Amino acid sequence: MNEKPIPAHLIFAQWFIKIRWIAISLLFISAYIINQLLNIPIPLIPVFTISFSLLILNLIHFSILKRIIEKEEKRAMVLIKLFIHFQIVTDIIVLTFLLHFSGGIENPLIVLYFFHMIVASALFSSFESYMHAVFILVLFGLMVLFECYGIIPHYHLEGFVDHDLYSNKFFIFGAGSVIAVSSILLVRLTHLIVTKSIKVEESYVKTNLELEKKDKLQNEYVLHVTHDIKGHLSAIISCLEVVKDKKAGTLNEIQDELVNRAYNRTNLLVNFVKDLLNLTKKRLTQVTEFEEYNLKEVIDKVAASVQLLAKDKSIEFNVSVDDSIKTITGNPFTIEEMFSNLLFNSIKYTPNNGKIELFVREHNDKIITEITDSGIGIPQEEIPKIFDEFYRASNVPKDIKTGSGLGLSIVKQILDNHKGKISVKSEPGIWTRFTVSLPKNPNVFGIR
Amino acid sequence: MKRKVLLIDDDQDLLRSFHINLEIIGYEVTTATDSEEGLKSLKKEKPDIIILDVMMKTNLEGYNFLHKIKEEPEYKMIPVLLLTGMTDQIGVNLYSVVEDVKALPNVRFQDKPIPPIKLVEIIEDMIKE
Repeated sequence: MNEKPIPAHLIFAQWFIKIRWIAISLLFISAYIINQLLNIPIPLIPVFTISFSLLILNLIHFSILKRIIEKEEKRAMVLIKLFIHFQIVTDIIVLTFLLHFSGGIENPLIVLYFFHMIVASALFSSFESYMHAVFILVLFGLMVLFECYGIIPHYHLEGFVDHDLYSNKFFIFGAGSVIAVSSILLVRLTHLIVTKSIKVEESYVKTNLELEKKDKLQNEYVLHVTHDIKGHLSAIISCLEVVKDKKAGTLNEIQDELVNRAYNRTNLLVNFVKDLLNLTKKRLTQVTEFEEYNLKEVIDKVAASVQLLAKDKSIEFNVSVDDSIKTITGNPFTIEEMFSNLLFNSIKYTPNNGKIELFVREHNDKIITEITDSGIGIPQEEIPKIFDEFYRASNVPKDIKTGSGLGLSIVKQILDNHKGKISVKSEPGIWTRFTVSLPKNPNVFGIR
Repeated sequence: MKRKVLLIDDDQDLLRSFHINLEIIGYEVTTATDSEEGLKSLKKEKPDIIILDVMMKTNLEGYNFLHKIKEEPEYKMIPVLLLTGMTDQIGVNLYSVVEDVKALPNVRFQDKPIPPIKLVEIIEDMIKE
């Protein structure tokens, strides 16, 4: 089986820690119940000591994982794999100690070994999974044999198991063989299933790559065409400018009007082409250059220019940015573009005397931005489409259909490049709220 | 007597340029930017020909307007030139629409954009008919 560090490793690593918290609580509770209520004599001190060690160990696991997540993605993948090995090995040791103090081979909890084998087989190469199985069998075998031959004491579960099975060599041989054979079958079977599902996944990945390739070609085509159009448009607009500014002689009223109309329309087209070029370029260069920058400064800059536009329409524009927000990682230029696209949109679709609020706060490793306006809103059924290229909500009045229809697509693309998210809520005619979640550092590896 | 043309198009720049082109040649031009306004002008001006954009507020606004006026005996015989950029804009196959319209009297289709000279030619032709 091809062995690849996959993001699923991280999910498993996080999941193990969660499960272990539950296991620790169950251990404490069940040890108490078994000993006090069921009157089955198990040595409480060693069992509690083991439970406590597991608790400490889980705290260590928790902090190790936290550190790994903060590492660069590539390095984190490798470390997480090692970390899962470490978790499994320590769990097996703890489990063996626990079994020893609670009846050894007589304790049905030996099935817990199998869970570890399944997980190891699902995540690691054949060799590594068999090594885990062998490790378990050796550790378990030694414990059983040592107990059997009296090298270490046996803690009998009086009242739970009637006979001293631990010293019955036939039983040990039978149970041991079943466990050993089951272990090997388990590892083999898990491998078979996982390999199959990996093959399916690989074909998905392959198809996806092909689609991406096609998408890239299409984007390159659009880039090429728009670039050519832009060239012609620049020439047209500069010729029109000469006439419009009457540098080539005076114009009568109608000539003046028509040239101005042509000039304005050409300008709209230039903006459209610029937006299309911008979006296509962003799509083609998925890897954005990131740097550390002061987000508050970027927001202040955008807010200042939005404030001027808001004044023109007598719109109340309130800005509230958490003081704690300072330096984050990303591309300051595109983030500025994202903020201004969203806020200019709000201005555009908010009638005179309306209200716009920009609210930016810190939440764990993310920056959450809310932009709320008292604008025309978006019909509920159209919300999923508004980030599509050229999409315009049906309730947009004709006189403000001047944009390229690409503004929100650009916003979405910028956020995709920053591993951010955007969502919209709206009540048509009353309000609209865009909520943007931006990771403080998109390079940090993490699924949360 | 001057011939009267009613232009209905939601693109004000296009409307204005057609307006000027036709006025220079000697037509009396009235303009409207939607079908509602167009209907008012139609009642008031009694035009000799209507030049009508298909796609306005809705994709088929002009087409609906056409059907409406062709149902009224008073306006039924007024020639209508339907202008459309729909074929390349939304990829709609206009034939179904055309088949419908063929049954109506004095209607022609023309793809946008159209040079002013060609527009005048068609208008002259339609009025003669």
